[in-house]
Amino acid sequence: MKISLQINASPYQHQAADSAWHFIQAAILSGHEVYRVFFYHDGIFNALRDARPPGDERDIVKRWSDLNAKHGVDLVVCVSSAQRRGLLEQTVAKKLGGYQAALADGFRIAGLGLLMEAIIEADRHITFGA
Amino acid sequence: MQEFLDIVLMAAAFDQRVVLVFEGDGIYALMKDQQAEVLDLKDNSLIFKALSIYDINDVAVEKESMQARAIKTDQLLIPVVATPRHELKQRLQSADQVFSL
Amino acid sequence: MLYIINKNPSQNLALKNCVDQAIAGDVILLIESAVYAVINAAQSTLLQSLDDQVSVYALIPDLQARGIALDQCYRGVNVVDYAGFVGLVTEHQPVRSCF
Repeated sequence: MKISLQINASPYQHQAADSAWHFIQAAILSGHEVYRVFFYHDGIFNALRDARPPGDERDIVKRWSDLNAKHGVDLVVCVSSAQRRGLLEQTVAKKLGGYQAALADGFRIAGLGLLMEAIIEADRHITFGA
Repeated sequence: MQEFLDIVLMAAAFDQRVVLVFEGDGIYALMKDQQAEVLDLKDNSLIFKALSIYDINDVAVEKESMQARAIKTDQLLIPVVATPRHELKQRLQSADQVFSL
Repeated sequence: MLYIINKNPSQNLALKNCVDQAIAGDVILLIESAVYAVINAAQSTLLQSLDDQVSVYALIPDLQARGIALDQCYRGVNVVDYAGFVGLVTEHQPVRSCF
């Protein structure tokens, strides 16, 4: 089955990113395809390259980057949610004079259309939020 | 709320049939005379009033939630149908996707 | 319909609203802080009011992370691990995450 996910909450303060990540591990192990993870609302904070949690803690951003590297899971950050909260895509940041290296590896920034596409394409769409 | 409404409008733009349901405290989102400018907030009422432009004409409020809060449909921003819980449930049951705020 | 609830019912009405709406054949999955609802004490009265035909599951890792032992759970509650969570999602349509 094709499953897409949506993360609506920031990491560490809420459990959404953890729950979603564990869910994805189990889904992949069960042979399902994780079609896309869409980061919306404060969920965009999962995509900050410079997150540096203490060494004895799980690194949520790295988990996502690894998921993309190992399983090719499409990680999409909503452009309007991101821009509202100060996370800019490289070319946009360049144009606006903003920070160009904010986005962590494996993520891309795109519009809500990709959420809609995921919802339509996938057999199930599961939201994890605050 | 703004970002949730963006999903609603985008779904309509993708030709998805959208049913907007207000239940529980959600019905407060539709209260008339909200003065968002007092707190320098964006006025969502304009989006609610524009829903029909996006072909979203199916807006329902849960009858039981309205009764529990002593709110009548004429106190709301837009014309809505107060629908009993069990009917709303049947409609949600037949949806491909259900989004909640 | 599969309802996914993630909030402690003493702080949020999502579970109560879901219990009010659920009909025969529905499934309620409690994750994150919502698993506190299963503790067999005052709070589980919410679950006791459910139709027999509505099944309730709690996510085992979320119970374990909160120190809730299985014998503290209201007897009507089933438990699943993440693989079971995925199974519930694939077996039910639609799925509604309630906040």
